[in-house]
Amino acid sequence: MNKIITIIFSLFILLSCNDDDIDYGQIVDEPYQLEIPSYFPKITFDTDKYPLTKNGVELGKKLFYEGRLSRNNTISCAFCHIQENAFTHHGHPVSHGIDDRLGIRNAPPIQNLAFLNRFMWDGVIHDLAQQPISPITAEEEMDTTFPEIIKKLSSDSSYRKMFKNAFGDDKIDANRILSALGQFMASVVSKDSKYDQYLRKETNLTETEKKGLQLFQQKCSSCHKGTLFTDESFRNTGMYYNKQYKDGGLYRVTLDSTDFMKFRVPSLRNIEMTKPYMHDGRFYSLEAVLNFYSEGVQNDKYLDSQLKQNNRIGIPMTEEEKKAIISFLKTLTDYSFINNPAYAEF
Amino acid sequence: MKTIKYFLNLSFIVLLTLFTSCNNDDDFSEIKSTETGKIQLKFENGFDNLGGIVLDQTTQTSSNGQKHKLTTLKYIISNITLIDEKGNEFDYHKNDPDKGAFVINQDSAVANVVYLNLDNIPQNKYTKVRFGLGVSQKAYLLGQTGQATFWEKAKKNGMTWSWAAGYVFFKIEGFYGKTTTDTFFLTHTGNMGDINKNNVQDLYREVTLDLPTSARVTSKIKPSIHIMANHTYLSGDHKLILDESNNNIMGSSNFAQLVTENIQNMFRVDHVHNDEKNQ
Repeated sequence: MNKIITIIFSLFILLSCNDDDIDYGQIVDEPYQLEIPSYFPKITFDTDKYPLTKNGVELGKKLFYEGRLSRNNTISCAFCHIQENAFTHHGHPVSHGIDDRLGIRNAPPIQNLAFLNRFMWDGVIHDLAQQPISPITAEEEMDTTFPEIIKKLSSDSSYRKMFKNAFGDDKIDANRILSALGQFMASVVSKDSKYDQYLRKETNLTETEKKGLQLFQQKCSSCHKGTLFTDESFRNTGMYYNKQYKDGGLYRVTLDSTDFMKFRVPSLRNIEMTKPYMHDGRFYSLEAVLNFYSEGVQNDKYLDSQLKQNNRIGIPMTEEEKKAIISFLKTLTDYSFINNPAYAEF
Repeated sequence: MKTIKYFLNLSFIVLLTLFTSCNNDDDFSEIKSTETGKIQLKFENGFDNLGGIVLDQTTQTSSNGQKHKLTTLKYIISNITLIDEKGNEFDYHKNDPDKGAFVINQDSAVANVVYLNLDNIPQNKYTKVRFGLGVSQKAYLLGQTGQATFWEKAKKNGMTWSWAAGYVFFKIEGFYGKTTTDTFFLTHTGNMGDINKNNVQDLYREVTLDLPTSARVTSKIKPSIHIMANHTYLSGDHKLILDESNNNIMGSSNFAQLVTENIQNMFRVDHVHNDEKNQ
């Protein structure tokens, strides 16, 4: 009797590998609650268009790390957006995508995007969930199309299951893929740096860090404003035009000459982890960035007025002041964000 | 009865495992020492405290406070040797400039990197790399027969004087100044032909670098060694100042020797990728 039971049991184990016709059972989903500190700006992510749900965010995360979103299945979003580097491309001035093709811009961090209004170095994208269309279809990044991706994902039963759990049925289409990715990106929030803890009176800054904060507020925060450290404006900061990349910034979008070499002011959160710096990664270090602002700003025709105050081009800073500012900038590193398993691949 | 049941279950699991376990034909990282593979060297020219060198743009301040920017940056690399952890050395076309010498030209850098792709490298786990800065005397003395191809290539890149004087090892040109970079300078260093006959210095230098992680050459892996050159041309062991007396130097005079000593120490391997090679 026991022998027969064992054999039958073993047969069941063998048969259970085929899950095509499995009943998914009842779908269990709940809204995804974003924890937003009181001092953060209001959320801009359109939760009417893309309701934030746990299953949506989970699916979005899986897609974020999914190589099949590229033509040859090797380049996922995470290839250029690496969590340990606040979702930037460690050490790369500009990124290389499929087949080692090179882009022209530095991969920006994915953090606190639910609170911004425009995305990318030239602000060309206004809807976060639509952003993935750009790298997915770009020849030098992921070089593929949505029909291709849908074909691959549809043949994977684990994806059909996740789409059903997130959207009610297992149909996979571009809108759902984008919604899930958008939800995941919106969920990626960095709010626990030393500076955040200081704002919440949970910790104190050192004397040097405090001095740095003061100097930052005097010299930098007119553009790097607020708790997200950007006023989201576009500025020409007197950087040279790189003939190899031919990147004129906002000018490429508007074709208005007054927009030449204007780039969106980036957030400085986690800046310690996102080197190299600027739209083309031209500066290896924060010291180099501050040296640029104090000595290297070119008096361009359309140089932003913030950088030519009192007849002085650039931002005057002594070596001491630069050191203090850098020590303040390091307090913007959020280790719990960088290590958060909720955003990790495994 | 219990024992029989236990063994039945166990043998079933064992059988199942045997039939479903992975079947791999060729281990990705297996080194077959009698076979060869490929390797890539990447040269990134920059200033450590600044960034990559964009010709005619990137402006560096030397340790003596002198601003300078480069409009031309080229150097010759030759006699590449790969060394494994046991100290065994593989010479890549030693003293054979046609096959083993290269011009690193910043003008051809893509996203600040100049690539060298080398073939027929014995499969091995390498832990050091050595290369020559310039062309060795031994190679030069092979005469035109030994290096007509490379001589042409170097000439096209502006890295030669006439044959009697030989190759330019390191060529930089640009502008310098106290507050603005407005004065032109050039420094072309190299050996003056047959150094013994001509009784001049030997500026050929060999540089040996440790690899922070080993480079594994296998049938499937083409390692990529990322070499950073921190151009301490004025700010190395010798702190130099450009002025009227030395802003137009060609050859192997004292200033050229000091520059050579500075630049021979400017290299380090930043990292190594052991990636599966593309088709």
